[in-house]
Amino acid sequence: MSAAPELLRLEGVVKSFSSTTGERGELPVLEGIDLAVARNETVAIVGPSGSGKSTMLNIIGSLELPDRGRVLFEERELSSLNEQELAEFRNRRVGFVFQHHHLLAHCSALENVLLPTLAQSDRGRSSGHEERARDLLERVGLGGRLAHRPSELSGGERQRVAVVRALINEPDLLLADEPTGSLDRAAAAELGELLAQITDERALAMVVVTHSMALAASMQRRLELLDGRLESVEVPGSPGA
Amino acid sequence: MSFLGLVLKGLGHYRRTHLGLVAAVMIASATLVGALVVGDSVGYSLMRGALERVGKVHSAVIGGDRLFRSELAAQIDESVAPAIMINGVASSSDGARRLLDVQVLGVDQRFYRMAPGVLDGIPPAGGEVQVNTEMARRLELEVGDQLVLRVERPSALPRDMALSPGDVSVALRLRIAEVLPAEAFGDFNLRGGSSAHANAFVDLPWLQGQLEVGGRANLLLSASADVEALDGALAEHWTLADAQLELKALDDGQSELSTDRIFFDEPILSVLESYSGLALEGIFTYFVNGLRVSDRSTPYSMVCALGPLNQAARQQPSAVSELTAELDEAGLLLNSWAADDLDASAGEEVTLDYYVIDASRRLVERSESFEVAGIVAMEGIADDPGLMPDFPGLADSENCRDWEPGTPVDLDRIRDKDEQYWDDHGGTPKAFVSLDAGRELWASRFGALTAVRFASQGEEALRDGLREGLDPARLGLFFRDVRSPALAGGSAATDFGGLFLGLSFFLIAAALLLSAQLFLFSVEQRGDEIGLFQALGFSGVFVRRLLLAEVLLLASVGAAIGALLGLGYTRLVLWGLATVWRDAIASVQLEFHAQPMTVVTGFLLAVSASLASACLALRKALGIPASQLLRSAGGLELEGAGAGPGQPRRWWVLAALGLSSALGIVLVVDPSSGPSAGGALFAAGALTLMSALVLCRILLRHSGPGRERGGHTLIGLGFRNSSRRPGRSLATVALMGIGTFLVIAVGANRLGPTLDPEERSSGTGGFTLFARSSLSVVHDLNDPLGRESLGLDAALMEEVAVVPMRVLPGDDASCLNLARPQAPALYGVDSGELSRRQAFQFVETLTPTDDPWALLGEPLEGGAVPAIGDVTSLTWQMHLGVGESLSYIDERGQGFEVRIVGAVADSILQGALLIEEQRFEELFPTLGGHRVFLIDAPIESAPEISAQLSRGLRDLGLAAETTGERLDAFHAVQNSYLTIFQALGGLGLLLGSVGLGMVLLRNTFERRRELALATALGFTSARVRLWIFCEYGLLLVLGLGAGASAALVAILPVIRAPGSELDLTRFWFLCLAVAVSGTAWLLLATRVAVQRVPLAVLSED
Repeated sequence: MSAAPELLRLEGVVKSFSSTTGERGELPVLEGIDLAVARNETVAIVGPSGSGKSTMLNIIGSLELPDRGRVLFEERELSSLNEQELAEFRNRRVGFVFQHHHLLAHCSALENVLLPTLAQSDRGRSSGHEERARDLLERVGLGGRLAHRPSELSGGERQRVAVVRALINEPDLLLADEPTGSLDRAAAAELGELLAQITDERALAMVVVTHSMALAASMQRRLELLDGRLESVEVPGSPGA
Repeated sequence: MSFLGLVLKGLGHYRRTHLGLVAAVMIASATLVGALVVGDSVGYSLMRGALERVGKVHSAVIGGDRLFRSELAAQIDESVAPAIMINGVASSSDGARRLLDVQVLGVDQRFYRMAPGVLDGIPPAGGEVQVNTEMARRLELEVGDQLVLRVERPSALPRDMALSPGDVSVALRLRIAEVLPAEAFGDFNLRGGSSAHANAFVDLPWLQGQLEVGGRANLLLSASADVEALDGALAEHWTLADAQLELKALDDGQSELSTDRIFFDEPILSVLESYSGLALEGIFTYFVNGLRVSDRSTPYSMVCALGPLNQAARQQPSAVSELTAELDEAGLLLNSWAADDLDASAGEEVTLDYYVIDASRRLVERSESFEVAGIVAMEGIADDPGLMPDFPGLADSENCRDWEPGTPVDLDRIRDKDEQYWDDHGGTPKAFVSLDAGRELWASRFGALTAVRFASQGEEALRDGLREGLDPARLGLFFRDVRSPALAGGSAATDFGGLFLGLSFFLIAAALLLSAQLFLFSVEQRGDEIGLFQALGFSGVFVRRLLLAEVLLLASVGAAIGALLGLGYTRLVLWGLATVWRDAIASVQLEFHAQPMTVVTGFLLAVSASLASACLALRKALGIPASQLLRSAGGLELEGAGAGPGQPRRWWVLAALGLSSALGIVLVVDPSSGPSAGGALFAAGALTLMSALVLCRILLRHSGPGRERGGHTLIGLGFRNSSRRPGRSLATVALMGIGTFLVIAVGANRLGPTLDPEERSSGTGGFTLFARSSLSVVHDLNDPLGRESLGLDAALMEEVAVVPMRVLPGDDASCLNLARPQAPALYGVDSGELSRRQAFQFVETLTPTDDPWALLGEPLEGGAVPAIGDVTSLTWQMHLGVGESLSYIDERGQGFEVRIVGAVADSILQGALLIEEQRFEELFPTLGGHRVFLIDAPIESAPEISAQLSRGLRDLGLAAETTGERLDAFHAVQNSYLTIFQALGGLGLLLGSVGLGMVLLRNTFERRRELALATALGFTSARVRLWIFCEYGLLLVLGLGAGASAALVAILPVIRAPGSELDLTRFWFLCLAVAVSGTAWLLLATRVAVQRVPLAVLSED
């Protein structure tokens, strides 16, 4: 348990899905997940494919609702928030990075980064957002690629844009779902470093779901999701190992 | 980065996807705007026609048979125009072409000043005529051509009066001086209607001369709308001459009041009877067929009824009272000539034989006996030929053998001494009876007095008394607002915009469904984008706004282009209505006219409908969790929610219920039982369609992945893949199915030719011929004498029975008139004749009864006049239901209500309202004779009888047609609209097959990796195309099958009904057309789809 104040807590979260054919009944995915994440803490979730890692991340980010259990963010239960409050929560407090970058094909790198600011106002360029976006893109080495569209960027560059987009509203928690999954080894390493550096610099909490042992090793805590339950694991080379 | 920027970038990026959506909205908008502008065009054309017909005229005095001084016009106001308006029959000089129901107008320069456009017209010279464009067209006339007009002379005697001469028509040979266009008042008409009327204009004084009514008119036209002021001026200036009254001084210190109309009208009579300022002696002279004493007789004589008319006369002795002092109601005085001729003396019984019109309006000879009270010498009033009024056909005859009194006269009975009496004494009555006795015998609805005599010194007093006591309106002298009803009649009876929206409904629905489908594709393609927005904290409202803003812009562009194309669509429809669908509008000339507001309305409707369908699609997408959307990667399945197998048993039950209900209806309903059967069978078809679509749903849901139906063949694989997107596929099947069903089933409502016109309960009422005449027919066509006088072949006419009808001319309320009738024509009919025949089938009556025609004679609350009409006319033209009323003005200016007490089904009675003949006569006593005839005749001799009647009554402009032809002409209108519906529905179906192609393209795009893999595995393009074609061919077959089977359920019982003229040819043709069109689109889409799949997609990120 971290000594820093707690940011996020999951208590007995259960989630199952119905079989697509309807013939095999309910398929349990999460079977009572308990997790606490402190401010400035980075946590890696590892586990085999289909173990429910992404589902857990979606539940933390309020993209999905648990069947049972509670998700508390700064002691406030997410299920008590209405639709508008949840949208605001995702926009202000959380930053998402997906395995696939999910950049808008018709927008430039800068516009993609600025996209979340539009959720607050129809004119996102106000209140210094654009300046911050430029700085951040400069910071991740994309200062010369501001006007490029996703199709004109490499996979690693696209993912860095996605990371910057997750940071534009200065969230407290970064959620990353296989952020290096579609990148080559060099690009993946580079992105891993970037994430670590950013969370450190900005005192962000981060939960990252990954198959990459290297990325997991760079996190403060590592947990494995197996049979619907979380267990602590040690990864060689990790800070706690 | 801004909201608008995001919207515009989205539009730019997905422009190719959006192109289809824009095209679909464009089609919907074009159809919407086009249909609405058709309404504008019809409305504008009708209103323009109405304005051209009425010109600047606001008010009019319509005298009909009553004539007044032309001078009265100028006395009322300088701008008031006098005219004579009568009916006529026109024929080309060689008689080759003939035109009935021509409106003949005698006019002067004042008339042309009220023209809608050209105001400097002048009447033609005497012997010349101006005709309007319509008349010139129909008779193929040009300036300089000769023309014969036969017109009805305004009659002094009401047409039905026993002494009225039969033929009062005058033939006018004229040279065409000018063809008068509508702007120059060529189309002048005070009656509503959409069709142009044939008009002939001649010089007023010239026409007055030809009709022998010098200085008289029967129409006053004014451009002033102030009816009250006009009536005030009329009341100030009218004279007795305007009431056709004449005061003249006689030789013996007496004066006489008489009327050109021979008999005083009831309003005049009641003023005279109650007049107290002067002793008035009444005179009622009648033409009798003979006076008999035993076996001795005097033929054809005048008999005069004399006596005090008012209280003053009863108290004051006069020449008349001296003569009749000893006369009671049973007594008669013979003049000395008659007494000698009959060898009669006082106390003997003398019998008078005379004609009257009986209760059933037939000319019958009656007899009445009197006791000879005395013999009077032929001196003083007893030798006054002036006691005989100017009976037409008698008064102007030089000798007895020239008599044409309007009743049968056997000239052989006239002796030389009778001729001598006529020469010596003219019409001096040979016998005298009391006024009461005379009125008892001869009084009729036309009057009961021919003259009034009084002391000459009271002439001025009586003149003033009559002017004070008489309301000119009661004699038909009143201005009425003619502009308001004419312009109200300029609106369409049916909302053509709404009608064409209805007819284009399926096309619009198909276009909107297609746009919804395309938008759905777009949303599915952008599922991950929507998920991203949600993940980034955008609210659902924002995402909805964003995508709807895109749709709004796209729909606006599509709708704007569509609105412009819609104007072309309107022109196309108007062209269709002028050519291939001309029966629908009865050859009315329609002019294109678009109101900006209508175009904007159509534009907004199209945009709103597109937004609404987009909202529905988006609602589905926004209900899906963001995580699922993010995973969709351009392949979101919106129909996926609940797209599992569901509860097949529930769907099976639903299908079974629908099919069994449909079967039940088909077994129970008799297809020949009238319009309701059509509705029930259509419902059975709709139930079948619903069941078929449910079965398709089951098939598509249960042949999907994991269900190895169809075996491991390419075709089997194709069939299985067709259920890959069951919702999408089902929507396509439903669109094709509904379209096929509507187009085929609605076509079954086409009305076939009339097969058994002699069936009493059919639309013909069992009559084989329907005839109309331009001029009134006063002869009894059922009576051998009447037939003989018209020169009809007695043998041929032996099996003919005629139900004649009186006519108050009015607006045509049949479906052949596009305009809304304001005062439909009234037919006065002897309801007993129709009741006895149990003619026509009633669909509704005011009160339940076994004898609906008898309702015409039943008194109604408030004195309303009961009327029966054709249900089609009532519903679609007059917009009246049973129990509802319509206001009319009778001949004396009194308003009355006509209340609908019954409606007959689909009949030849379209166009008018039928009221009881007796009520008709009370309301319009001077509208004599009959102008419409329902004729019972053996069907095999109908053509011969029709020709015989047309020939015999040629001068009266009689035209007969078979009732089958008449009914078929009405049916042609309905059939034309069905054709339009089918044509537009066919376009909708075409669009449906475009939708099928779109689904194919979209699905193959989503499966491009699958198809590329097939190519990589060695499939030829042809094999891939076959694979795809099998998938979508199944959808085509299902849609066509569902629609066609449902349509068969709706039409098969009709086809198999006895006597049905419908066959399956049209059905097969339509099925084939849909199949060919669908296949063509599939082949095209398959080719395009396969071309668009490069192998590179296999390695795409």
